[in-house]
Amino acid sequence: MIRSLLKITITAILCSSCGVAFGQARPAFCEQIPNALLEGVQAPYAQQTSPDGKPYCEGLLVNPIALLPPSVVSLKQSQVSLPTFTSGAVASLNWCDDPRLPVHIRLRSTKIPFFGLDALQQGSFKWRTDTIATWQPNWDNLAALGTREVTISGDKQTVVVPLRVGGGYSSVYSFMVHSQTAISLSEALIQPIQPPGEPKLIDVSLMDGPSKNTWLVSVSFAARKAGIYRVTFEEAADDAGLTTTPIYLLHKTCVSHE
Amino acid sequence: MSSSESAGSTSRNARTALKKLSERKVQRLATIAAELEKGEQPLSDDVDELDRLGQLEAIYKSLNAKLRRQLELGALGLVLLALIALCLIRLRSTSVDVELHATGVRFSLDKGTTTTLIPGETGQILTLNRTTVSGIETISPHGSANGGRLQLRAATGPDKNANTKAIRNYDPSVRLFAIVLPSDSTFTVHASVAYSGNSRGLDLRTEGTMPVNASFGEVISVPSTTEGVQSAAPAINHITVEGKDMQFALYPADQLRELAVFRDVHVSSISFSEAGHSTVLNGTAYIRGRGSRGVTLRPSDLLVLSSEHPILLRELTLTKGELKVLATVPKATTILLGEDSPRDLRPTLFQWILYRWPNQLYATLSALIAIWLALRRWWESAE
Repeated sequence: MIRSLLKITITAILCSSCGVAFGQARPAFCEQIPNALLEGVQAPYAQQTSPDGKPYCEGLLVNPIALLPPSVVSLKQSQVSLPTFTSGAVASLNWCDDPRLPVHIRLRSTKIPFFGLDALQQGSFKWRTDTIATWQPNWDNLAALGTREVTISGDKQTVVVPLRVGGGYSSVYSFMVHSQTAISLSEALIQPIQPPGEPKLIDVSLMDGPSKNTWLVSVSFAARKAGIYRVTFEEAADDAGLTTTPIYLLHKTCVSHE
Repeated sequence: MSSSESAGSTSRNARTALKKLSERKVQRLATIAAELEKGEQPLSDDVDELDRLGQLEAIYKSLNAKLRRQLELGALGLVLLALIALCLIRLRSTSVDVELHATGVRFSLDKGTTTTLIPGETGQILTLNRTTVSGIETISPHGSANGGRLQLRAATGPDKNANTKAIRNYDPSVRLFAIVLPSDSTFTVHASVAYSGNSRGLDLRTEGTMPVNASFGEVISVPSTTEGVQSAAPAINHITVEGKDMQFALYPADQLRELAVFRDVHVSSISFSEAGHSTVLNGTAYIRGRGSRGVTLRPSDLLVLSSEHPILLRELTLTKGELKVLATVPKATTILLGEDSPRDLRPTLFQWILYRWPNQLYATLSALIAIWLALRRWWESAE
């Protein structure tokens, strides 16, 4: 009896240490980076609890080394210059979607230190700003993505919901494109998926982003119907024809959350 | 007592006897000389003894010469055996550089920490006349594939006679942005030449435990609004496919341009055969320890390589309808060439010594011959 109890205890200790070592103690929506990789980081990415008692992950990550194709790494609602995050406050992120459906929020710093935050929330997300104010207080330096799954024609598809800090709503969306190779994107192909419609090609102009290898582009969806759009930024077909990996954008029209 | 000890003892006895005979001969000659000085005739006993001593000396000398010949033969035999061993025993492993043209190559990609990209040049976009992908499990946008199969063709180019203000000049080719083999997984890749009518392309088959992702760009015509004017404009429709066992047939738009399929990837095995037959067209294998010229590979030469350490596939390119392979095998344990009775191309110990220390080898051989000749002369003079 004592021997079996001892076995169970040892197994439990070993399993918990394995989980911690491989970052499996964090919720599934968080980055599953092994803790060993975060050794030496001042405020390692770890599980936290939001003011409403729900778990989320926040802290510093290590620089990703993968060579990724050109892709949209952030989708925000356009906002005029925002004040920086300050310690001791509670900030909120909002989006225009059915408040009953959970959205995976992913914030990543585009500059050193590599701050990261992941949360799974419905309606809006409120959190204490102590960590973000210390490590990345500027919203413009953050790549923000809100994603959730939808079913289109029987297939599951991840859609991106534009995020904003604080209340209000804007149908002008700011996309941040990341590419490790030089690109000159000049067009956006917008294909209505749900409801289906005719694709449109619009001219866009890129601005330098907050860090090297990032660019910003704004597209207004004010005149478009609510629905799901496949958005691809591309070089003109008379150039090389390089494109970003398409994203499925969920566009809805909302009034202010305030 | 062993034969060598017996031979040694005989040699010593012979030498002692010869020495004593020589002393006796000298004494007897001195006696005869003294008698001659006195003006007397030498005694017949003295002359007879001198004669007997001469005969005995001749017998002992012939005995000694026979022994020397036996020793010489024994030493030569040993040298011959050592040479045969050096010429027959092969190195366990050596490094090989292979540069060849083939119609097909199959290899297993090692688990790595980084993803492997096709085309092998970072950022290279391959323009294609047409492509076929089969074995698709997921595709975006949905509904582009027909039963797990996707076929893309270059769009119709801009009509130069039409109103050029409405339609810009553009490249109607299908774009291959990348085929991505994820890290932390092993893959078997089979690359061969694809044929379709007069055009030649690349046939690529991937098999692995994790899905391979490929992105294409297809030129489509969409309504565009430029400066308030409605027109049709070419756009790139990005298509992404995923699957564990996929087959790609890629026909480049420019067949004369070299396509780098892979560059600097580590593979655990590499094979140049299909259904047991060689796919090699021509090439050279540079084997360390077999001289700098290299071994010429001819069509139908079945080349078999295996290595203890990962093989570095420096380059796999499609050039003018042929696959060109540059690979380095750092520790090849098997290097076989030929179909029915393959030749082992690993260098022998003699070739290796000749390759590594040629001057030292010649110096040592010269020194050994000089020592041998000196020993012979010394032996003969001792007799």
